[in-house]
Amino acid sequence: MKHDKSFDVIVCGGGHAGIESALIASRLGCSVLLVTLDIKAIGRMSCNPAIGGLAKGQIVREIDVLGGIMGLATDKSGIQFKILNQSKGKSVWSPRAQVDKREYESFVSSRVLNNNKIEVLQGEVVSLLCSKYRAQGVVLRNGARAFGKSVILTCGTFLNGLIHIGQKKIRAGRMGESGAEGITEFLLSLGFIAGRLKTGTPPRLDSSSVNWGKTSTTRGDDLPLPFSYETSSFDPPNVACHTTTTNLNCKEVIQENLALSPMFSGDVGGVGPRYCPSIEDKVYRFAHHDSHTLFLEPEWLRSDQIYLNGFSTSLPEHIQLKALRLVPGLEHVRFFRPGYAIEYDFFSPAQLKSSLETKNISGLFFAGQINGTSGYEEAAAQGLIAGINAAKLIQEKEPLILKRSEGYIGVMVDDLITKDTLEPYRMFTSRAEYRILLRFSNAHARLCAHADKNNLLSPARYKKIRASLALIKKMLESLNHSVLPSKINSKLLALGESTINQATPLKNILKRPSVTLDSLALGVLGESNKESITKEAKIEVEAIIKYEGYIKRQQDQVDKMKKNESTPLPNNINYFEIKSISNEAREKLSFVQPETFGQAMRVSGVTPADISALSVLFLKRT
Amino acid sequence: MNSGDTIVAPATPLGFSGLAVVRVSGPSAFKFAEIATHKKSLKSRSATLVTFYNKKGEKVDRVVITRFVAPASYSGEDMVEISSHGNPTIVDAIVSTFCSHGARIADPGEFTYRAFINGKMDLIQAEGVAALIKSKTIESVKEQQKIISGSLSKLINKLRSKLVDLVSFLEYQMDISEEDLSAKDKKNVPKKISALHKEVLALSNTFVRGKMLNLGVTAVITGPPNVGKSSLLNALCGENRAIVSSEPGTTRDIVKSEMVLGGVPFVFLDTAGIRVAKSAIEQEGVTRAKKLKEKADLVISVSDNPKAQISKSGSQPHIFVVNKSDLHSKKPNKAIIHISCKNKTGLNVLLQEIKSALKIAPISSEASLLSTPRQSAAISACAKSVERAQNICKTVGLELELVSFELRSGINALDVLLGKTTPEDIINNIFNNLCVGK
Repeated sequence: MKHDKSFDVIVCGGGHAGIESALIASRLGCSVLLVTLDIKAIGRMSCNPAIGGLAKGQIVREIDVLGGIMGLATDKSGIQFKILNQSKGKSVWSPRAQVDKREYESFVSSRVLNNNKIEVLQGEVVSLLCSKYRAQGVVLRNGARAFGKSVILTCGTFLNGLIHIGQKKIRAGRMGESGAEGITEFLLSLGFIAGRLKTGTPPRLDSSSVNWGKTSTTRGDDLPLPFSYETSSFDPPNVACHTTTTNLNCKEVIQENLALSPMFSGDVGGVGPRYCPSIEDKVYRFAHHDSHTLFLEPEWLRSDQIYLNGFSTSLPEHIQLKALRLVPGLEHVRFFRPGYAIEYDFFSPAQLKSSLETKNISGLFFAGQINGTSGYEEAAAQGLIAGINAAKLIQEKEPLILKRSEGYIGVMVDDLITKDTLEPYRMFTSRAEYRILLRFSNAHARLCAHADKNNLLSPARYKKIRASLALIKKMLESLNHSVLPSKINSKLLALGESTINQATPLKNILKRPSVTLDSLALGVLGESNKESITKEAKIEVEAIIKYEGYIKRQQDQVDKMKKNESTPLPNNINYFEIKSISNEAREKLSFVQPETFGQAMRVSGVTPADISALSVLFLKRT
Repeated sequence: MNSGDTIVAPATPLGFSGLAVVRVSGPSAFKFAEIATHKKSLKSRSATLVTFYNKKGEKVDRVVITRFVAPASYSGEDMVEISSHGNPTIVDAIVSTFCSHGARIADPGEFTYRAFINGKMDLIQAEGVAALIKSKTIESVKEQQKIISGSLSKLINKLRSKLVDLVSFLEYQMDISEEDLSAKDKKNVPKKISALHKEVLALSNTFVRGKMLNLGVTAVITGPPNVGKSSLLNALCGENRAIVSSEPGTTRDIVKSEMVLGGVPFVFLDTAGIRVAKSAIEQEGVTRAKKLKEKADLVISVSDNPKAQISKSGSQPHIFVVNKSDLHSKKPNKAIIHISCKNKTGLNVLLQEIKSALKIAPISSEASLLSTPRQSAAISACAKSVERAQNICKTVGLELELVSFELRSGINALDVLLGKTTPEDIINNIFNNLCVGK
């Protein structure tokens, strides 16, 4: 590439975060340079061959409504689609898809490579060009420099990455790919604070060595829903996925060899996730459980590589094999790759503003696992926000900041910049205090206005979103009509519900637990049931009607908090000078430098009394 | 502490006294006061004598009301101060009336807190207020944070843990487990919620007894003239409180006697002899007697005729006593207690019966009873949340996030009560040391 070329946005790293940043920035009119260690690895899925899942599916939907690509890529490469939590509560329904990794990577990669506003360069960024606390570009290992008005770091697990398998240690960013050394040291020199985290990955099995007959199978939903509103014709495969379970013998092998596991024995420096624990953690911590479920997920359609979900480990290879060969179906299993743990640098996201721009260096953004998150979806969402805000910065516009009540992305960014990062951050529905309002089926209702205002959507996507919203509105209006007892009582009896005596609005009948829109079957809606837009609209309408009371209560809570959330705190307060707050509050508030009173209330260690003291000092008196 | 609310609380300690003061502060203070006094536009900074009515429109008391327009008030907000007769029942009625219109009982020190927030005083002054009222507590920081002591606090914490365990289970199901709820779990969750509801309700119900211990019991003694009610009163309380003479109609006023029975403070009220009133004064006495009887915690009917009809009215416990057993032969009748004030027989049986009618059992000072309205309100709020969680399972179905939402509300109510703050926090100490109403 030409030396010393200038761009609007430079993205460092071609993973899930980097891709979203590059694509959205280009959509918003920016010239983009994407620097990646390996052009062939753009969009590579390092771990699970799946997108979405509990709470994550909601994030993917939000990414789609804000113009991101993850949803569309999943629709194109999915081999099994399923909505999880269908039996557990309407607002926690989470869509998930098993994907063909090669198809996924090929799709996103070609989108990036074929985009004429994005220039892709293979190389390693070792430091940044900065002047007077403003980012101005990057410097590569070969000495080349690129100038940029903004820089987005999306380096994933590659910063000083160290892989552990048993006692073996390999410097790498991902198995088979070299890591990056240099950026961390440079950022430290700029005053950033770094930490170490670790994440585990399971072994990849040779499919021909698995006795499939001894495993159990599950299929996806019969009428699957696509993630993206841009997906028109949707008829994906419905490939069966297989599971098996560990047992006491397997457990014993692991227990006897815990000392050989560097992740478990503490040899690995970083703090690891509690909720995606290694099999060593599981066996140790859930000692009373004799078995755990293992999911055998093909890396791609008819792939001979099987990802063994549920068995993250850094035990020595021969122990991994010994333990697994005691599991039904895996008696003769062989690996393509053993499980391993990877340790990497991350930067505490409390050093970021809510736009994901760093507080110290203007024009520099961090997104993805570099912020200490785990998961493709979390990374992609951050990449999207960083890309949008880098573009807006250049255009001298106010950044896009989502509220906690507007989406899981809002919850995640606020959590990252406010709370302590002691372990990798993964999204859970329980992180959202307004969970009942944040359904996957109303992401478009919540975020469409932002998308519209910022021109984030392609015409096709925008059109479909509008159509869906219109359909939902129409359905709700029709449910205000009343129905006569004669028309509905037989159906109610068939459902085991009591009958009505007088004309009753349909929505009241829909509130009854066993009544669904389909069981009402009054032809009220008139649309074909096979249309996914209809199926989704029905899901959303049922949630709105059946949860009406709770939705209102949550909305009341949101309204009450509005005042706090929109009351700003001045920048650069010296909290150590404030005598009327506790010591812990001074430290935490200094580190976080919250932007609003609402955010200050969420900083750990800050009590209501501290907030009172701050309100006396910083609120205007009437 | 939400400063958008209107708060109310007594500013004087509970007990019998000449005057009691109730304070109201907040955006609706004037509105609620006007509704309660049936007066539009009360004069500012001027003490006015008005009648205070409860929500039903019944008269509560004649009170002196003073209006303070923000910011020229103690708290810096619109405030109303009401001086009533110093009777806990009246104070309770005034506070309840404001609550029924939409006010909320103030947190400890909340008036002073609002004064601080509104810049009416700084922390040094606020500390001064606290010091003035309770000089002991600022010294020992640890003691200051004890809102509840001993076994009650343990009980509430245990309850909280159970709620947290259940919520954790639900969150695990929603956020970690990709499998459906097992059939076993589908049955267990509603069962666990039911069990928790029973526990919380049981704790909530202890307030009846706890309140008795704290505020005492009112027992009314009724019966025809000259049956020996006054003698009974004297015999029970051991003093010549009432005028005892054999002429009917000597007890004109309602005579009050106090006594502690089983640790509970009792107030016995001897009402005028009930008969057809011949004068207006007598009529007034009879009317007052009837009103007191309705509001009493216990009614003791006295007769000297062993064959008298037993007629019960009202919902409170009722004991039937036949006096002057020295003058007639005892016919054992389980519903009646035979006593002789003159000979002092049967009195112990009566005392036992009083205790059992009000369920007064020997209790240690560490017992787990709710004893203040604040505690009762918090536990009731928790019970309501758990009940709603129960209802979700019955009506909407096992929608876990809704159940979790309600259980979390329940936990929140307990957290407010347990006062989860750190002892080192001086500002909190200042405000929490002040009682409700300061």
